[in-house]
Amino acid sequence: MTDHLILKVVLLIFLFYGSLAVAIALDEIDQDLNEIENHQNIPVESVETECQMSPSAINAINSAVAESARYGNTNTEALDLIEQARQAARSPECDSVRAEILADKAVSLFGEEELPTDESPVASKSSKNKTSSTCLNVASETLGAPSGAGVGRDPFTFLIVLSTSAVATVTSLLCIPTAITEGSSSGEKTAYHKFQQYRFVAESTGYLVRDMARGSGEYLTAMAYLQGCRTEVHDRYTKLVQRNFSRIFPQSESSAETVILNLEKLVAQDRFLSSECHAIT
Amino acid sequence: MRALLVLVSCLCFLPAKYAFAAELISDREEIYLTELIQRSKEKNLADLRIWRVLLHYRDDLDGSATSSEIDDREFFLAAAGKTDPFAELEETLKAFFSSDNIRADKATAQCTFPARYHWLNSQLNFDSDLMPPQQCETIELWRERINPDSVSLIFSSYYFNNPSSMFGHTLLRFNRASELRSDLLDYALNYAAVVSGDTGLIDYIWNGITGGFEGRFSISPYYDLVNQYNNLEKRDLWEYRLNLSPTQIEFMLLHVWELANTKFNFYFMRENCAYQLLGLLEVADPDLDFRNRHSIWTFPTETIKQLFEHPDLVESVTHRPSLATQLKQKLAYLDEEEKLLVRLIAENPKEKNSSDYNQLPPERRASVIDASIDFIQYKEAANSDEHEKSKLHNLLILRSQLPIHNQTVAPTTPLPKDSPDQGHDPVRLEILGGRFEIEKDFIEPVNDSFLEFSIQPGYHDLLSPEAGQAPLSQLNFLKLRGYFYPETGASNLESFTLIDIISLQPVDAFIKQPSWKFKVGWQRNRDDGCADCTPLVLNPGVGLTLQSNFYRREVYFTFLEANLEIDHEFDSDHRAGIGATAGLLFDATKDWRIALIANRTQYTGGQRSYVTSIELRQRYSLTGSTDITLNLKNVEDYRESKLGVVFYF
Repeated sequence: MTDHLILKVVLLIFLFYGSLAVAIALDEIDQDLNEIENHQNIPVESVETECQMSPSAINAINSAVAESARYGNTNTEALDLIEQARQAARSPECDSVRAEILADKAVSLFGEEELPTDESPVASKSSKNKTSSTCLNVASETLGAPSGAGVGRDPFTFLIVLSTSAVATVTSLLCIPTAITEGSSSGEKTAYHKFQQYRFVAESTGYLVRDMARGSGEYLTAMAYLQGCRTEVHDRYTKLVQRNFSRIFPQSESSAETVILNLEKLVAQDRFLSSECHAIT
Repeated sequence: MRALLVLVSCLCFLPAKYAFAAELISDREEIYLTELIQRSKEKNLADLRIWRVLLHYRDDLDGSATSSEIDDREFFLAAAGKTDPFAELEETLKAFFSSDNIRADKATAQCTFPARYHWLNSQLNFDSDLMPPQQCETIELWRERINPDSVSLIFSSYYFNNPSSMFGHTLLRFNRASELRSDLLDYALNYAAVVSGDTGLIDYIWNGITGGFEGRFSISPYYDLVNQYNNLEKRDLWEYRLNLSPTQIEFMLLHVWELANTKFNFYFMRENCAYQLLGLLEVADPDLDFRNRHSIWTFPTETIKQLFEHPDLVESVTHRPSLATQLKQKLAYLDEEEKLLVRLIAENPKEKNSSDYNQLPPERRASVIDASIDFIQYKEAANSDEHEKSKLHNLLILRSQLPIHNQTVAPTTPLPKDSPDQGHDPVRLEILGGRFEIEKDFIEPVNDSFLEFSIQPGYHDLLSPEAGQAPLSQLNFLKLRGYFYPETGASNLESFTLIDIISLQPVDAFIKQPSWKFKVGWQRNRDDGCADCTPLVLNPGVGLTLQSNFYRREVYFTFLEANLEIDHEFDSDHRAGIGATAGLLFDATKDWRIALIANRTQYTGGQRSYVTSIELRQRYSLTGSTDITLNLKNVEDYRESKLGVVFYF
């Protein structure tokens, strides 16, 4: 009888505690929902107070402003376009589409303009040495990482290290572009570096672009190394990459090839980095 | 490409040309070979430990026979090489004279077995005129690309969604000697089973237990493994940099090359990743005798602990937080309003226009956007959904316009105290004394005292100390419990658990994962369903877990579960039903944990009945390897209380 009583008391305590916890959790959820609701009712500030401008238009204007600043705000035509874009956004019609078009046009003006830098021999060579990455996807699939602990997909991943070695089967397996190998030692090294870059970007795009946007992180550091940039210049490299993120990764699904070419172009156009980052040959 | 793969695969299965070397060598070389064999006998090389670790030989339990753990006939040059170390040594010496290619590697014996060549040369000092050293350009290039100056053993934490990863996983990373180096770009060596995509769960478990899968080594850039384990599977990685000399690393690397195309039988329990990597460390330093301890099973965490048994072997430890841990770290940095913004912006990037967001200083805005990006990546939503991809892209552009604000830098995060090497030992022995009582209406109460003995080889109980283990989890297997009644001298089997897993995943505003449980084994019945029978029980369930930190940590969980019990004592030989479990885990102090668990199951299939039970369990940790436990349990009319000691070893 006494045991039953103890059991019931214990059960009641448990039920009370459980009910309390559920009540608190429900209360928290309720508060969160209220806050979400309140937030949704908050009008947007300044420029956007009179209308809901599209995020893409805001981004476009922001990008144009950033580009203009990067070029020293000297391009008056671009500055005019940015101002027109702002006015379109502020207009009673809240013309987001026009604002976006004008901002994009301003950005495109900078695309035609060279960055204020000397064209170094390294940069020049880089721009000519564009390689095809058509084989990359094949290589990536073939050399895919193991899925799950202790469970691999492809035993031939063992040979990835060789990549551009003289072993015909391996070279074929990795499908390295042959145009840049030329069979020479330096050619093979270049091909190996290229292969490393392409594979790294293709396999880690999501994490790499995250680090690029933040201007810091291990993936970005690794990319700097792959571009041959010594630790001493990483600060400059990461800042440059972050500032130009929208040029490097222009669309939500930019290919590895696009990202690499944009990075190479960016580094080549930087007077300091073009001479310090030696992997771009 | 596919044809080439098939061709290479086929070549792997060509039989070795065992006798060719002896036939092709000249009389002069024949005389020198005889001399080498004689000298190797005098030096007893075939019995030296280094030869035995190179060939993965292991004596059987009574030491009467030797056999290699490598299951690939092509790894041996002698027909009896798998079981005869001397025959293999003799045939290896013969093969080193030949410049013909062997196996599918299309390389000579010297270039196929460079570690054997290196060691035998160091012992016998080969005459380069009579046995010219061959250029192995492929190996040279391969070594140059890996170019290690140190080695790290990596532990990937527990992953309950894959049976082979529940105990964790280990791999090796070769840390490059280069000014321009990043851990991500180093190469890592992984040992894994080759599993075809259409393998069913039952086949998967069966083959994993019986060695039905083929095990292979593979090398890939470390970022592949970080992407897989750290980011996709959200598992923390622990990196143990080892203090090995350049010569030891070089020799181990040569042996890794020898294993490139070598097949092993993969066993989940013993000859698994952790076991094979220990073998490689023994090759690097034959004085390390790691594997002998693992006769039945090899837990990855135990192999990590073994490293620390050798002074100075572990040079440093780093922790690489998973994507989930990184998200938690970033959220911990934010206040409640900012956390709300993280969710709102992750759902709808337009929220960046809100006054709450814009009032924040740029660094705080950067932190909010960082956490929003991590949250989207954590949910993996942007992997497939176009709208999510576009949303993420907008957030990335927004982030690029904010200051660089380095909040979390993997893997230099301060080392948490609960690294895997701090975990309790796997084998658990419990000795308890208790009393039970059965009280039914109109029947004289029955009560008696008992002693309980319980042993299980692994691994972790919901109440066990959590340091170094997967938090809020239970993974018991092959647990045997027996009762002995001193007054009557009777004894009986209380339960035999094949596997009993509980994974509690506290749900919050960001991380929403179901909790689940799965149990299979035999368990003595304590209700009126069948009188004292021991049915086979199958009990899966899914549930919800919440957590609060009012006092220290309180965890509330519920499960909706199915229960199937099979025993000939039941009507229709079974009963099946649906049940619900509610429980509370409460950390009273750092070492004292209390669990209160109630269950009600309604059996509607087979023999109809219902069972209600409630259990109060407590564990107090005296030392890292000893606990005191006090349990009270009530199942219908049956009540028991017991107090005892738990030893981990």
